[in-house]
Amino acid sequence: MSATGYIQVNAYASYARLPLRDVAITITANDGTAIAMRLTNRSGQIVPVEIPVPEASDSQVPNPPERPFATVNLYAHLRGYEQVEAENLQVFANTVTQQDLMMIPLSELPDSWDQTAVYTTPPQNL
Amino acid sequence: MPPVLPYIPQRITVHLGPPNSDAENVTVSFVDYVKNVASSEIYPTWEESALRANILAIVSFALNRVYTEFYRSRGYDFDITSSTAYDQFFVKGRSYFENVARLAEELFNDYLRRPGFVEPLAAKFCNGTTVTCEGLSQWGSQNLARQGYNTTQILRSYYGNIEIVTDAPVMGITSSYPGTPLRRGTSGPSVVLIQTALNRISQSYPAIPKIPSIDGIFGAQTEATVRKFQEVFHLDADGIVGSATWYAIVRIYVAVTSLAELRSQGQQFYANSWASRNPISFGDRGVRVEHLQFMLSVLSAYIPEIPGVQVDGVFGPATRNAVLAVQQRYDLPQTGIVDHRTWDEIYDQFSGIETISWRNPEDFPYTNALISGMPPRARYARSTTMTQYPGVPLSSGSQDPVRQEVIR
Repeated sequence: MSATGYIQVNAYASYARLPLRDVAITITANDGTAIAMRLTNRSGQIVPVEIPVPEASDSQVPNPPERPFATVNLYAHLRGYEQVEAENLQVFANTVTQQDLMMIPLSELPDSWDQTAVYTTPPQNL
Repeated sequence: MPPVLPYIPQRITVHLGPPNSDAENVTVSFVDYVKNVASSEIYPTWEESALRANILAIVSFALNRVYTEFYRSRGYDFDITSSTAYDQFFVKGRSYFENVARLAEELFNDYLRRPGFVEPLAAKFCNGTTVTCEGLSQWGSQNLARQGYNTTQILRSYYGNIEIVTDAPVMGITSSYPGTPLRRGTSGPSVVLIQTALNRISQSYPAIPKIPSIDGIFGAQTEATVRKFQEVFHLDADGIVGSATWYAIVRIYVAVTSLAELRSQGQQFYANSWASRNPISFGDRGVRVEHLQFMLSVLSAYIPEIPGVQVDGVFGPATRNAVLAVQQRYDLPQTGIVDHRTWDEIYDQFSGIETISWRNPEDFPYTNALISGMPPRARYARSTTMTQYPGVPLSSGSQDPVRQEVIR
């Protein structure tokens, strides 16, 4: 893991992309170790998080010996909205991975308050 | 009859499995669909000409499915599937890569076709190693790019004699790209439109500075605002409104104002009872159905699994599909009939949106400041198209003075 990739988020509500401020973002490695915690700004974005990744040359040929990207998990929480878990985000060398978080307002009934949307990215087919 | 030219849909509905499977549908904007598929199909570290060739193939294939109504003509309620055995790889909620997304913003309304044909090419592709096909080889395209092939050369080496259609019309976008970039020194109606749209978008995005004067002149302040918009939306921050920036601005402006219109439309229902009553089902008509359709429209603006409906008071197939989607999402029996439980669920979700999202004055401002400097005709047109307060107080028995002025 000698190269660097980056993660950015865009947290918003509805197709009108109304930005969501103060969304708590946690990024973890696959073993659960926390890599970074951030709050979104008034544009619904964070200071990008650096992730160690394989060299770009690893993704230039089919069937490299090692997987040519790193994977991390991301959790997003904002009171009043459905929580989001995004699993296996792929991060490549010198590339920004953008995670859109279209967060859904929750009904006012307490049984919905810990509702979570889980998005899992399957492995690449290449 | 002249051929109907292809257009770019605003949104596309994707079935998350093979056509006959009991999988859910999601509806996403077309450009987000292209970003998602391209990020799922190829590596972002590839040569740019290879990325462009693959994205054009992805756009063409999807447009072919939409244009030919491949699935809808067979009775399905979606445009395309996420299954690579049938269509292209789409992963609900996945991340995408910034460089791929920028190219998608640039190419989403360009496509391939055969000379003499109208329909977008059903441009097949496969990875070229474990799977081979008659279309584009993904790894092969990267190899050609590394040998110096440009995008057109790569595409022609796989698809033969094709032409690339650029800047196709976009559904729901009333103002098409003027054809040449707007930059410092440009003036005219297109600049007015961009300035108006940017100022409305900046209501929700305070990091984007307001343009103090909507004067139709692309000066230093407009340039600074454009540049900040580009930064926030991950476009090339060059301060120039080319095709990608134009469509991004207009797309968000249309979405923001449509949502504001929808919110205003809801005011007519506040005098009605919001409690559930007798079941409503296919074929029913009337105010109660309109009320239901309004709430479903709001849900569809916030929840990708729920398709949009027209608020026309007629419980037709689209309303039934939206009701079924609500029932699937909230684990209710999938009957397509709005009984007490379904009505209450729809109302609860609507109520959450209204309480949490609609009470932010930054996102839903009055437009007095925006329209007060305009002449009466423009002010009236602007106020009515936004379905917003027309800028002049009205009381019982009075006539709308702005409208009277316009009529005279």
